[in-house]
Amino acid sequence: MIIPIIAWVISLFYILNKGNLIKGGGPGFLDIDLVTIFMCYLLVRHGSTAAVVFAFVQGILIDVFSAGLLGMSALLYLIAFFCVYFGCRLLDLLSPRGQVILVASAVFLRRIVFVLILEAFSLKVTLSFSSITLFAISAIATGIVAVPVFVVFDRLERTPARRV
Amino acid sequence: MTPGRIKTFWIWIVFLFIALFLVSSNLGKHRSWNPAEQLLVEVAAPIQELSYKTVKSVEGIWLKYFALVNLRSQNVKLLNEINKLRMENDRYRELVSTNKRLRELLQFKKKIHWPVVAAQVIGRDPSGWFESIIIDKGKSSGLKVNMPVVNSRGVVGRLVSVSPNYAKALLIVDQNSAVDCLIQRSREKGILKGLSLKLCELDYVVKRSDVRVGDRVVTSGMGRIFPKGLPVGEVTEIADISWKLFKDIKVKPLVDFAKLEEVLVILKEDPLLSQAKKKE
Repeated sequence: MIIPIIAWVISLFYILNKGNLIKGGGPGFLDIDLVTIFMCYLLVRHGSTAAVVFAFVQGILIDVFSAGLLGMSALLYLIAFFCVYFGCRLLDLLSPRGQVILVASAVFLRRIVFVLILEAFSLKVTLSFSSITLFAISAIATGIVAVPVFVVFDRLERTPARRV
Repeated sequence: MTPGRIKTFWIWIVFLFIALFLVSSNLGKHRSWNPAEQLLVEVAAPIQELSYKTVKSVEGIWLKYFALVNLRSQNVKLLNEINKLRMENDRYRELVSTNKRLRELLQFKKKIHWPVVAAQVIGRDPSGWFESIIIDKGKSSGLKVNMPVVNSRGVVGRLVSVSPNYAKALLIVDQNSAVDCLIQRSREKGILKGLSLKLCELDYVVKRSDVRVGDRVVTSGMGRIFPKGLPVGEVTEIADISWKLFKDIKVKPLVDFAKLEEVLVILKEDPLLSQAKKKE
């Protein structure tokens, strides 16, 4: 049970300090989404309930500290969870390839849905080719980072993988 | 479907409805933190404050000391001495720079005819999309929702959420922000909206209005939140697009939002909010 606690603590620190690190500069070149990585790890090692609760609460925490609508990040992380949960039927989240593809897809989808929601609320955000490229780079970077995170967490905790 | 999957699906559905309910109930509202959120902020913000200060001090040690350890052994003593002096010098420079910033804030404070509270920025928006800051002062210092936030350069934003010891301010560069402004020289009016961290646009300025590049933009005092005449930015670009009803005016904010460290909160209550409270 050490990993869920570590994931919650790291994620809390990550959310509270992310703004200071990127200085509010919008979607950065390598905006690694640790919350999605941890959510995927919890899903595969500790079950879907742990993952869905983690996704919702971390989303709410982001909303409280951000200027966005309360519930929006929570909604986006639930969509990311949905993407990974059903993606697990097509790809193996225990293999590095599956981890990269599923985590990257979830991050990419979350960002695209976010922009679409912003557009729906008539904010001046448009889905341009450059922003899609940035999302894709960040998503792939997050997917790549997921592999060592899974390895480190697996070393720390030798829990048998669950069937998702 | 297995019972486990059905259970997950229902949990997901419940959370999804909660999230959708929260989004729809907050749509178009400028509400402060509720008691539960305030409790969350009161618990989490000290961690944010502590980690921010830790990161800053580690960064300082790294930049001022550890970057210099890769030296030849015979010069270690002398270089250590130099490092010590450099560190001391850097500390003094930092103190001088802080002193300068605080002096500027103090001078600005004298110009404003309202009581103010100085606060330190302890956090920034974690979403990366919106532009807001968390400051280390709250209700206990007399802060309330919709109070204007400024620094020595000009308008920073306004408070949108307040807890007993912390507050969240929406910056003027956020896309949700709108400030009633006027051109200082010609007194033409417009609404300033955020575009990005370094750019705003002045909307609803009619085509025949007299606006030039370099004109200073100040608050009009009409939006009931900001006092009149606070500096906001400078006009950097004007375009006359034929199919648009109004001029396309870009404004560069005077405040450097990437380097925001200390701010002043003007203790000016929103008259509509205070009237509503009196009625209650």
